[in-house]
Amino acid sequence: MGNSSQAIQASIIQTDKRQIHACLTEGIRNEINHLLDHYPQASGASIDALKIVQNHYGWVSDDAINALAIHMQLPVSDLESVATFYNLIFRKPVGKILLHPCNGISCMLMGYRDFFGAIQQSLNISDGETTQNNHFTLISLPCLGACDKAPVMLKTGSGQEDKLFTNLQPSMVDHIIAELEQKKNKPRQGGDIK
Amino acid sequence: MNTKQAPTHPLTQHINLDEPLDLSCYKEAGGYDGFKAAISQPSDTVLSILKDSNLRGRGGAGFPTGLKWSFVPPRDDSGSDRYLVVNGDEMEPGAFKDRWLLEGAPHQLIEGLLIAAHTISATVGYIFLRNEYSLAADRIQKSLDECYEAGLLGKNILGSSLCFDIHIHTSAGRYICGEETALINSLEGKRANPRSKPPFPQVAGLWGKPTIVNNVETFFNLPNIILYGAEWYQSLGRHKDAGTKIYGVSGRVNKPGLWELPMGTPIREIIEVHAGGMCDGYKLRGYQPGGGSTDFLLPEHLDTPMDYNEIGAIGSRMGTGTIIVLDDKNCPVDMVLNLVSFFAQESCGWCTPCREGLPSATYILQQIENGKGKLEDLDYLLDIVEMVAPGNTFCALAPGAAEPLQSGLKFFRDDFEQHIKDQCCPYH
Repeated sequence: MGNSSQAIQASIIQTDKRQIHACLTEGIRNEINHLLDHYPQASGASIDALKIVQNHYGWVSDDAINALAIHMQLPVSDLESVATFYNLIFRKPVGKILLHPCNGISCMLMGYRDFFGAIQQSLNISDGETTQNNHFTLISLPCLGACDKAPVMLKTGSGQEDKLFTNLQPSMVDHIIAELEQKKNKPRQGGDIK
Repeated sequence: MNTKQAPTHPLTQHINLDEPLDLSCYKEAGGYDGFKAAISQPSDTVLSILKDSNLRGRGGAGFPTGLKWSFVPPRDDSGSDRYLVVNGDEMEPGAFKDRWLLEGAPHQLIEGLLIAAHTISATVGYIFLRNEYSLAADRIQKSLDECYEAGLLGKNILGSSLCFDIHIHTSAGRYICGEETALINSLEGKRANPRSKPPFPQVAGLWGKPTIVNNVETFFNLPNIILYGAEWYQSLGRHKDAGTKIYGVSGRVNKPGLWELPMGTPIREIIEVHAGGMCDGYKLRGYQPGGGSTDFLLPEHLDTPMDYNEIGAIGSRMGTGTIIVLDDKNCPVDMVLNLVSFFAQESCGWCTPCREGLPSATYILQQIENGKGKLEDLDYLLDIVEMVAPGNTFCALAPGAAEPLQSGLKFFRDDFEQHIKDQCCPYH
């Protein structure tokens, strides 16, 4: 390969790097840098960093992983292997609101299945799917640690206040969804569903 | 020994779920006195008190805490880091006790960590929380900030030579992170595959340095043990094991919940008195005494004291101490299926028996539950139980999955056989 083509190659890589880096805003980078101080090695902050990106964009894209690898000076493969292992790092876009009905044993004994059937029907999606309007993604999670209030469901989402719905009945689904739809666009502060 | 009145509920005396005590209120209520008592004594003395107390790890395995800590090599002059880790990755099916403590009294956790830091000369502590416990994370962070401001964390704490920092690490899912060595890998930013032991984390743990990992409830025990002594702590238990324990009940009972009770409280008292007994129209079929990975027990075992040895002697485990009740309207096969499929899903995939065995067991259980089972399936399930026995895998996840499976097959054999004979689930 001649010198000129090497230079072109290098400039392409450079441009890619700049573009990739752009998906980490200054705010995201500051947040990550703060966490890097908590660990003797940068890899310790991998999961936190992926979550920070996810908090910002709702999911973690290939570009974001590449950008993180550059920023944290870690191999892309290391970050990728971590991102695909942990089930709450999303490698595909998800809805604005994530609904996590608990399918742990106590919730199952107390009627999770009926509630889950009702919410699938109401949203017209199955487990792991997102509604067409991108408002809701439904992902069952195992035991949410609120077994005395079973069945329960956790609501999360980037920019959303977490909320745990407890002692659920199938008849409560429509009310919950309607309220979440209504307050979906309210800002985080005071935007929690009471 | 402190002359103040010792608390009757040393784990929950400061709990306030609506608004946990801030630093000044916690101090006013006697908080951080345990740490002050610890730091005024040599670390060896503190370790002896802990050993004498017979405190056993509250995460599930019940390993004596003092003994665990004594494996940390003596401090050398290299100034190299030593780590303390709080296992707050509560994800055991049916366990909800750590959430209560974390959300209700974050300062008591920090005080426990400080006592431990002094004892093993730790330099950094990590509080490993599951992602879903965001309220706990917020509250602990607020308490940590208060401690830094008051000189209870950071350099030369309270004028001593102790320098100790605490960071919160919130996880991103996966039950396997609650396994000690998998948790360490996760903290290092890796996939949470367990490590082969030895070396044990006490010698070579986080980033190869001496590391102690303990459950949330274990740390909550420390302040009062130091303050009121080993003898007092031992006197709290009703049977052989020392102290109090957070017990819980979930399922079809009248008052599901959590209670701090003397260690060794009989199972019957926990279910019938504290949880108010079974709901009207439901009968007790069986129960798992300590979460989803513990063997089923039957009504005939109700008078057993809930402590490590007694529950062990009747073929189950104390585990987390949170009882899951199976009633007569829920299908036992379905319950075992839910549990085994959970463990299959949460297997990290590292060890073959777990990765291959648990999905196979799940498939067979589904077949039986859906009316497509064969009698020989039951033998195959028992083969899988043998295949994932302790020693065949790095960690206890697969053996934990086998516990409800093998005890379910033993105690509810008639139900399994009826599913196969009738080719349907009689409960649905």
